[in-house]
Amino acid sequence: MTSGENALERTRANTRWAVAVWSAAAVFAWVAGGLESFTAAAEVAVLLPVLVLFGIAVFAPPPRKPAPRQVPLRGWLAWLVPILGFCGLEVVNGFIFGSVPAHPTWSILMDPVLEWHPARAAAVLIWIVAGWELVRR
Amino acid sequence: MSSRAFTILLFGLIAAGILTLDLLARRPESKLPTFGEVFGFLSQRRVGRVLVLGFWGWSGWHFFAR
Repeated sequence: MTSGENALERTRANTRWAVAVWSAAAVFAWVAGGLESFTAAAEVAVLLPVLVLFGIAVFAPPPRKPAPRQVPLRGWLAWLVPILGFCGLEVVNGFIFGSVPAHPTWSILMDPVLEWHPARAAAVLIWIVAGWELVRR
Repeated sequence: MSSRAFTILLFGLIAAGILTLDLLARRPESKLPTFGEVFGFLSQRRVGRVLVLGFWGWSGWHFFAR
């Protein structure tokens, strides 16, 4: 087998592995998305990916993505506008107004959406994908 | 406009702002970092990495377990 064929076989194996892992994650997200909040099962369903990804980050870190590009300071500061805006809205609505229906926080707004099983499952999967991306950063 | 509708509008504007900044950052030779690069920047030091991953874990707990 030539080195080119070896590389091709490695790529195929990696692809098969990635498809298997993300398929399992999708099934897990569907099951976790069917669990009600404030139950032991829901807590386990959250702790499991947290422990797995923290374990990977500490004991078997994957190759990290390249460091961010060099950009001017004002490029980074531009991100403070939406981030601080979001934090400010959460603090005002959560701590000052007490997160009442007239002044909802983000999580209160998301509650009715997350009551629908497919949406909750999709949110769990997005959360797991985000965690994996953060581990690679 | 009710205060609830106004709050939803503000959240919508923030989401649109994040999307817009990320799209602008993906143009060739952009002077803006992408949303992912912001987290990459925060994760460069160990303490930042722990805080970023900790926030991720907390958000899952908050939305799906509590």
